[in-house]
Amino acid sequence: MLSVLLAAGIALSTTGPETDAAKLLALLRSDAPPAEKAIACKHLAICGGKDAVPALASLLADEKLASWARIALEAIPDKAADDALRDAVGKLNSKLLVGVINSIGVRRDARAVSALAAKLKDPDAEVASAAAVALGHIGGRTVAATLTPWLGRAPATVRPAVAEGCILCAERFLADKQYAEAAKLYDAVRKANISKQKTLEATRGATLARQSNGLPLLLELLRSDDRAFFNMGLRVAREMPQRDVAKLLLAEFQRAAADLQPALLLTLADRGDAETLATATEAAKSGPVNVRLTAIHILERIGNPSCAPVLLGIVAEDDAALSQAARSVLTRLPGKTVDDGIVALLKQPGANARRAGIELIGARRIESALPALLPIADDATVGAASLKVLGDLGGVAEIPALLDLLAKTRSGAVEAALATLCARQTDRAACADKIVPALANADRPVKLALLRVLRSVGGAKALAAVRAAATDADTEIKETALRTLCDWPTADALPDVAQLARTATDPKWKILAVRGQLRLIPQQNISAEQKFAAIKDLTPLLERAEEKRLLLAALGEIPTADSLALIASYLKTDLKEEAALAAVAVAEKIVQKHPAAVANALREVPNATSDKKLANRARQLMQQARKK
Amino acid sequence: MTGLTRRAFLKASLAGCSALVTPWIAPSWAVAPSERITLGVIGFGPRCQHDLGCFLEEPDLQCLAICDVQSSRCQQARKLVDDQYGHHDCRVYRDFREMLARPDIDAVLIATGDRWHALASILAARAGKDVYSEKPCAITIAECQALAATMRRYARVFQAGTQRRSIGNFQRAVQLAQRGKLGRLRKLHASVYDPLARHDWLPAEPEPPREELDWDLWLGPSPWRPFNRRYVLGRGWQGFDDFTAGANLMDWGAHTVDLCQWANAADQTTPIEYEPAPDKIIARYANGVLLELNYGRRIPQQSHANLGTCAVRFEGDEGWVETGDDGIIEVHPPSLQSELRQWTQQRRGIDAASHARNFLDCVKSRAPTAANENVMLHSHLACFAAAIAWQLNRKVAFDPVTQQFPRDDEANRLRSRAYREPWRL
Repeated sequence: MLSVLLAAGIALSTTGPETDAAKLLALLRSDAPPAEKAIACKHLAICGGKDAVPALASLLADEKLASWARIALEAIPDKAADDALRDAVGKLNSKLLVGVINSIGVRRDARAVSALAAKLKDPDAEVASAAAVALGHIGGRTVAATLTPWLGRAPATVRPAVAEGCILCAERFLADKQYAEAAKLYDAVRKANISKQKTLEATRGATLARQSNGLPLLLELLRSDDRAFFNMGLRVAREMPQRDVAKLLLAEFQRAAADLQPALLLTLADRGDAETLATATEAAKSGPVNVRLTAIHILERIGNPSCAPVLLGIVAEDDAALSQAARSVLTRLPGKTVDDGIVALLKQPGANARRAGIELIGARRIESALPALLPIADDATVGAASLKVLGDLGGVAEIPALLDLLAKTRSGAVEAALATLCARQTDRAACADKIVPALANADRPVKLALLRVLRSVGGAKALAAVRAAATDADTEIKETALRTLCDWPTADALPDVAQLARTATDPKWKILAVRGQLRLIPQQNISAEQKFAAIKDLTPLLERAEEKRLLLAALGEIPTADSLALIASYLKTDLKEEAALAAVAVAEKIVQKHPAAVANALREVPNATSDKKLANRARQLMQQARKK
Repeated sequence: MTGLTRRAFLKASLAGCSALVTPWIAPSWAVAPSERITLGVIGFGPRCQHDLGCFLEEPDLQCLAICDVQSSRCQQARKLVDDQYGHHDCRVYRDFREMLARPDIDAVLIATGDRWHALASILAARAGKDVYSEKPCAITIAECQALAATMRRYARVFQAGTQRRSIGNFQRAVQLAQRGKLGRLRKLHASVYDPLARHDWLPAEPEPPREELDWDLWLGPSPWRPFNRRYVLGRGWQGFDDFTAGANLMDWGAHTVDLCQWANAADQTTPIEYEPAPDKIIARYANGVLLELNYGRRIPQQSHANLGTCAVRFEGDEGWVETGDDGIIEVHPPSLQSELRQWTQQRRGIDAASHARNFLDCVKSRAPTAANENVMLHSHLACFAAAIAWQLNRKVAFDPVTQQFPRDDEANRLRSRAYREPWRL
């Protein structure tokens, strides 16, 4: 049974014969191989009791199994385990003794203190060190009194462990709110001849143990020239709950050198004291850039609308990092007062301020500011930004003003803004109602722009206007209209595009029309078979690889066996990668209904594609198909 | 060391926001030596190759040393570093304690097998180094607690390798949950591996020469077993209970459970109950929110077929959000799409670059990292408690304040595991 468990990945179950402690113990006493004894120890860690201790203890001298036995002995709560480990102290040496001592420390066996104290003198530094640390884990006044003299007495190889033991003991005093005892022990460690890391650790503890009386020590840390002590001060300041710490940090922030100020400010912010917001807001206004950036970063976390005036001043500054940082915060600050402050930026003389204001209006989607953007949409410095936001935010109400601007400027940016605006509207007919009448009176450049914009409008009225323009006597207008038809977003333009494909003599128009058909046919609300038939009719017209790629893409959206078969005919051509992709896309949709077609069509795909994932998908689909 | 640099701030500000400016990355020789953070690497396995690659891209970071008990990995890592810098100054070590004794190393990247993460981190902290440790950062509850306490006592900067905290799509999903956009949170889903805990030993093979592979040091604090090459090739140790954590649940759980903790604003606590079911473990927080660890590396309820690995899903009264390593964020109702406006995904879930940068910035500012020891402690505790429920095959209760299983001697026995001598926590 155990060997079965060993072979399989299985939970350490609490039911079943493997939890029979007697059987596990018998196994431990037998000549079973170490692997089985090891797992028995792990089971005994969960289910073992007092009766298991002797068998486990007998393994403490076994170099291979000692640590396994200690897994169980550390876990068994019964005092018999403590007794066994204590007993082993007198019998073992070297590494095995160290292991036993470590386990005594984990169990915090107070009755082992005198035995461990004796081991502090052991000539083996590892043993003495283990004893010191184990004593620290046990803790208490007796241990403190035992260990403290060894801070001076222990050889250099053992002293770090003694210091560790003292600090562990002190940490326990601190956790139990025995502050005086803790402070005394930490202070003893601080005075000892030990490593800087240990001194730092003890200083932290000494500061915390003193509670409010620890402020002078904290100040000492924060004013230290040694960066390690300063850093410890920052950590301790985060840990001390006392309100006076905030005042201390604030005072230090104000007197510290610029390179230390960000860390002090961040510490203040992490504490969450009331002073932080005002301090960060003030620090953001002026001073070294690094400090200001830190302050703004803090405002991003804790800022509220009261910070907005300061931030609105910063967005106008020349420093790109500061300006962007302030913008990032302003994007998120809630409230109408912030919106108003941002809109007011548009009236400032500097381009930085106005540009920032425009971008923030867009980021915060302040639609009420749109009327303020229109007058500056043709400004040399901020016009482009303004138009972008008008496109992103504007509605039908803004179209007349943009049409006027287009007529005045003939600018591509205005055209783009109109197109973006129209594409976003749900009421496209309302857009057409504004734009189509403007076509009639527009001069040629504007007319061309409006024809292009109508593509983004869509709908019957817009289509009719474009269709009419496609017969215009002016060649440029006619061609622009034809292009717009070929690019039309919806299938209602299909009849026009199909006719163009049939009747055009210029190959350029045939190509554009066919491309349009390939794009629009799959959009129609007809059956997949009808779509396939329509697309198949186009294949004789396809001469170039570019159109054949579009064909494959279109077929890839038509989930029929015929579509798949046509795609498969391209798997041995230069378009094999595209064909492979399309084939798999269709096969995934039809494998249940047409397994034979899928199995047949995908055979070539692994050879056709260099995409390993795609090849694997094809193989899986073929497997699936064969099972049907 | 200076405070937050302008360049570092720009990078931090861009997390989760549309990129308005592309930060200028200075080449390393343009950074003054006094501003540079020096790094030692402990353990150069498959994941470390990615992590170290991220660190080496940072101009204010210089890797000085590599340590691995396998000499072939040391040589491979040294070549990577020397090629990056165009010199041959990177030193190699077999025993990481020698490397930790160097005063010129500021920080370490620990990417050994799981069994070494906690102890190596603790020893590094005691030696005065800041630590970036791959996950899981510990393999028992006791190790986790000792690790967190050590980082606190030594005031070290610690970053757990749960880099999804620094990835845009996960940050956005958590923000939706935390800002109440999903209404009151009800259920969180974390995709995890099927639980597994092997206890068998592979057949014994002759140990290679120590110069080639130090088996004793490879084992470290793990209980003794004979050498077999399969343990040390790639991640061959994975799945063995003595070398890894939490019955295989931690592999993804360290990330996905962590993200659920974050979404539930539970970084200072854990669920209080865990119950195993055939295909998942159901945990419950004191605030009533449920956390499901879904086996099979997938969330059954997920609506998008291809979220990628490490998928999570957060469900509230008024909506849900799901996302994964492929960067897709699915939301319901559709109106939540407006919350995702002006956001572009910059990195995939497995990419540690932003997380590494966060670590380096915090080494300079001494601020807590995104996945600091306290965050790590609580998300790991949640995973361990879930694993213990699976191991015992029954419901368990857990007290996040005492960090014990109340009146449950059997579960409490699994909170720690003895170290092989002479190692100790």
